[in-house]
Amino acid sequence: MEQADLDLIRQARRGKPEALADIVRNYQQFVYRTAYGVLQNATDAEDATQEAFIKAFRSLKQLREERTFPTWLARIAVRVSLDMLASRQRRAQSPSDEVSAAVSGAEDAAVARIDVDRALARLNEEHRTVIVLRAFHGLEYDEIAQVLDIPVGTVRSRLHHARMQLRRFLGGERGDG
Amino acid sequence: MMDRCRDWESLLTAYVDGELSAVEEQRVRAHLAVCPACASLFADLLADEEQVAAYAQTIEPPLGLEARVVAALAEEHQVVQSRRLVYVYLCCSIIGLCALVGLVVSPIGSLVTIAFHFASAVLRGLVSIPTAVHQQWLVVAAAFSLLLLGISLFGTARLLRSSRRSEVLL
Repeated sequence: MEQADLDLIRQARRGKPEALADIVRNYQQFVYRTAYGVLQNATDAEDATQEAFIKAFRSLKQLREERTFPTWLARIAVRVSLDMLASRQRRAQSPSDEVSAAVSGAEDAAVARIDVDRALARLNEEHRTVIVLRAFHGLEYDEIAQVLDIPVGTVRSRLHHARMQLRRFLGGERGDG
Repeated sequence: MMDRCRDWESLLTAYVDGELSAVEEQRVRAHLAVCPACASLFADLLADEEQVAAYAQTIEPPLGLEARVVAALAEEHQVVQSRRLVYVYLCCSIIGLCALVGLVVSPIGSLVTIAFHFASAVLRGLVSIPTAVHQQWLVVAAAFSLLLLGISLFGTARLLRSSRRSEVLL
């Protein structure tokens, strides 16, 4: 984590509004990717991003160590996204058709992207979340354990099962399974 | 053999993440060198990891999201500020009320009572001023009317007298 970000967090804790705007600018991609990875829906991911930032800044004074801000923010983003997912499931809404709406890139990568989209959507939320935290953001096992509030051993076994399932789904899509 | 490979699978995923101890890593490397099935699975897991990481890089937040979040935060800030103001107002009211009750109950409360009576007498006096002024104006208006009547009567009488004199002359 950069010193500039640490300074921004300190300023935000003192209630400086410009610092909040800068933090949003620097971390919106991080939060949005987390939310999108868990929710697999662009509209919900936008809502989750907004809610995660509001919750984060509301409880910013409870953050003990400024250096843990990314993990702490990821934890809030994951919780907000999982709550949103649960509420969506309660409303019995199927995963959105706009699953690729937020994804951009060259056309030759489109097939691979759709494969990952589909494979991630087929994982259950626990497995999808650990994949997002590990593969999207490269968090260490102990950081994932902090984010999800589970033991490191559980992270390890959950990631193993998630990877093996993903392998099956991606292997099926690629035809190499 | 298959059961043995299944046992290795859980180590392979941790090996992909570099989360094994040095001893475990050595064991996995040795196994991969002699087991084509596990070596193939390891290569696939690495490929999957790269594919998912590349996919994550393509996820970009929509253009207006930053402005939307900042606006929502500003709104939230205003709500919090106004809520704080209400709390401050309530606290001040309660403290003021308590101070007033304390003053009245305390020994210097009698002084406060005298001051209160004085203030109420002044207030009553101030309230009665408009009424008094109103009555005075009635008297002034009546006197002014009587004066006007008197002047009119005197003028009429003089006019009549002068007209009678002119008739006699004619």
